[in-house]
Amino acid sequence: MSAVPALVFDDVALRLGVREVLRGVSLELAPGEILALAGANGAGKTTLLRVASGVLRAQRGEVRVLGDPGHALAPRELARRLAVVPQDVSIPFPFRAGEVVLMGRSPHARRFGLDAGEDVARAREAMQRLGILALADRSMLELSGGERQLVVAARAFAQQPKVLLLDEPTAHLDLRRRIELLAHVRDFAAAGGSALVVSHDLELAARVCDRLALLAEGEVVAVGPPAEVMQPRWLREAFGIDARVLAGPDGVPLLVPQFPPARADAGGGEIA
Amino acid sequence: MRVLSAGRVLGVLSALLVLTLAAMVIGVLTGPADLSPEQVVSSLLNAEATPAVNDIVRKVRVPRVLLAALVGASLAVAGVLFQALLRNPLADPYVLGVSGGAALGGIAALTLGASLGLAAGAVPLAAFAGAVLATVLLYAIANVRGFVSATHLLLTGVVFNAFASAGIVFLASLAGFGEGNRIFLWLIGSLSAARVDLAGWVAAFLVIALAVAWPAGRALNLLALGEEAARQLGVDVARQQRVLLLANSLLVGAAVSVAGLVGFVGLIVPHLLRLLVGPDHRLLVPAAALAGAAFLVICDTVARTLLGARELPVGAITALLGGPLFLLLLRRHHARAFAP
Repeated sequence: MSAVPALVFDDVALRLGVREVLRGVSLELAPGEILALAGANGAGKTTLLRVASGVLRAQRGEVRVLGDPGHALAPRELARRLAVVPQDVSIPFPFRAGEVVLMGRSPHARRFGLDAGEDVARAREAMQRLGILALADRSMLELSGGERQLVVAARAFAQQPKVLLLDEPTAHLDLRRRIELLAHVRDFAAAGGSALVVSHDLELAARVCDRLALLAEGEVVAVGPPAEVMQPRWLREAFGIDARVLAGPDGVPLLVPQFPPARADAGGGEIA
Repeated sequence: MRVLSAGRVLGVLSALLVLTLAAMVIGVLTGPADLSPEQVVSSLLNAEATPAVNDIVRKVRVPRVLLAALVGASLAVAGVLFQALLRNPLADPYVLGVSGGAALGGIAALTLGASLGLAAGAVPLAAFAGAVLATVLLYAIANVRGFVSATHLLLTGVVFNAFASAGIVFLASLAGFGEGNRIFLWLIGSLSAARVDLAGWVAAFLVIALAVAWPAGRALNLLALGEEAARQLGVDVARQQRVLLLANSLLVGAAVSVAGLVGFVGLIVPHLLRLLVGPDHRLLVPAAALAGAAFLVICDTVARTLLGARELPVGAITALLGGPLFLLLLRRHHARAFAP
C-alpha cells in the first residue's frame, strides 16, 4: 500500500495561450509527506495545483492521484481523494461560514443530500481545530480575508482528503494563525495524509515540510530536504536574488536577503 | 450552526405553501366584479350559482390566478438559477435580455403561426428556443475564459433587450397585430391577454425545470463559489452548467409565452428569500417556486383591482417594485467590489 505515491506529477507540461507555463514538471509526494513548493511569481505554482485538482488538463505528461490518472477519475471521486485550499476566496452570496465548511462534505454526500449528522460533526471538528467555530453563523460577506481563508481551509479538512493542496494558505494570516494552520497540516500528514504547500514564506514552510521544491519558469530547479535546497545557488536560480544562508538554531536555515543598492532617482523624499 | 435538515426544509416549504395558497384564495375572491365570497365558493363547488358568476369565477379568475402562479414560480426559479450560475445576485432573466430573446421567439411563432398552421404549443417552444439563443449570445459576449464580467453582462442585456423589443414591434406590425395594445401588453408583461390554452405547456416546462434544478441544489451551491471551487468539490461543471441553463431557458420560455416581458420577479423574490431563509439552493430553489407564485398572484390581483375596472399590466407593478431594488443592489454590489 505504501508503495503507491499519494500524488505524482509525471513530466507535466502545459501551455496557456502562447506561454509555456509548465515545461515538464516531475514531482512525487509520498503518503504522510509534506512537500513545500516555492518559486517566483508566475513560475507556475498555482497552475500546477490546478492541473492536480482537475481544473486544467496537462497537454503532456499526467498527474496520478493515489495511483490513478487524475483526468480519468470522476470529479466526485477526485474530490474525495484530493482537496484544495485556494489562494483567494470571494463568495457573492451571504452563505454562513458553517455552511461553506459543510460544502466540503459534498463529495461524500448523497446527490440530493441534506446535511447528515456525520457531515455536521466533521464540519464542526474542522472549525474547532482551526479555532473558528465561533464564526460558524457569521456571513462570509462580513468576514476578513484571513477569516475567510481559515473557513476554506476548514472546508478542505472537512472534505477528508488523502491529499491536500494549499495555495498560499497563510497569505492573509497573522503569525500565530500561520503557525496554527501549518501545525494542523503537519498533524494531517502525521495521520497519513499528504500535503503540497505553496508558500512564499520559505522559512516557515521549511519548518513543517519534509522536502522543499523550487519552481522557476515552469521547471523544477531543486527538490530535497529544506537545508539542501535553501542554498544561495538555488535561491538565485529560482528567485534571482542574492541571499546569505545562516544555520538556524533548529536546523532550518535562516535567509538574509541582500537588497539592491539604494537609488536616488526612485521618487519620494523632498519635492524639488 | 445553520444546517439543512429535513425539518427545516419541510418547515420553510410548508409555510410558503400556506402563503401561496392564501394568495391564490385572495386572488380568486378579488376582482373588479363585486362578488361575495359565498358566491365565489358556491360557484367553485358548482352549486346553484348563476351562469354569469360561474363565467367570472371559473373562466376568468381561476385560470388567471393559476397562470400568475405558474409564471411567477417560473420567473423566480429562473432568477435563482441565473444568479448562481453567473455568481451575481443582480442576474435576472429580464435584465439580462433572456426574456427578450424568449419574447422575440414567442412573437415570431405567434405572427407566423397562423400562416404556417402551427399548433398552440409552437409559442412556448419558440420562446424556449429564443431564450436558449439569447443565453448562448450572452455567454459568448460576457464570458471570457471563464470570467464573467458583470458590466458586460448588464450592458449585453440592456442592448439585447432594446434589440428584442424592436424585433417584437417589427414582427407584430408586419403581421398586422394592428391594435398596438397587444404589442404593448407583450412588451410590458401582462396576464390580461394570457392564453389559458398554454397553461399545460407552462406547467410542464416548470415541472421539468424543477425536476432538474432542485436535485442540483448542492451543485448550485458549489457553482456559486466559482467554477474552480465547484470542480474541486466534485462537480462536473460544464455538464451542470449546460443542463441548468437549459432548465433556465425552459422556465423563461414558459413564463414569457403566456405573460410577455414581466420583469424583476427573478430579482425580487430570490433576494427576499435569501434574507429570510438563507442562500442554500437546496432550499432556495423550491422556496422560490412557491414564493414566486405567491408574489405574482398578489401583484396580479393588485393589477386587476387597483384602478377599478381599468386594469394595469402586472409587469408595470413588478417593474415599479423591482427597478428601485435593482438600483439599490447595484449600488451595494458596486460598493462591495471596491471595499478593502
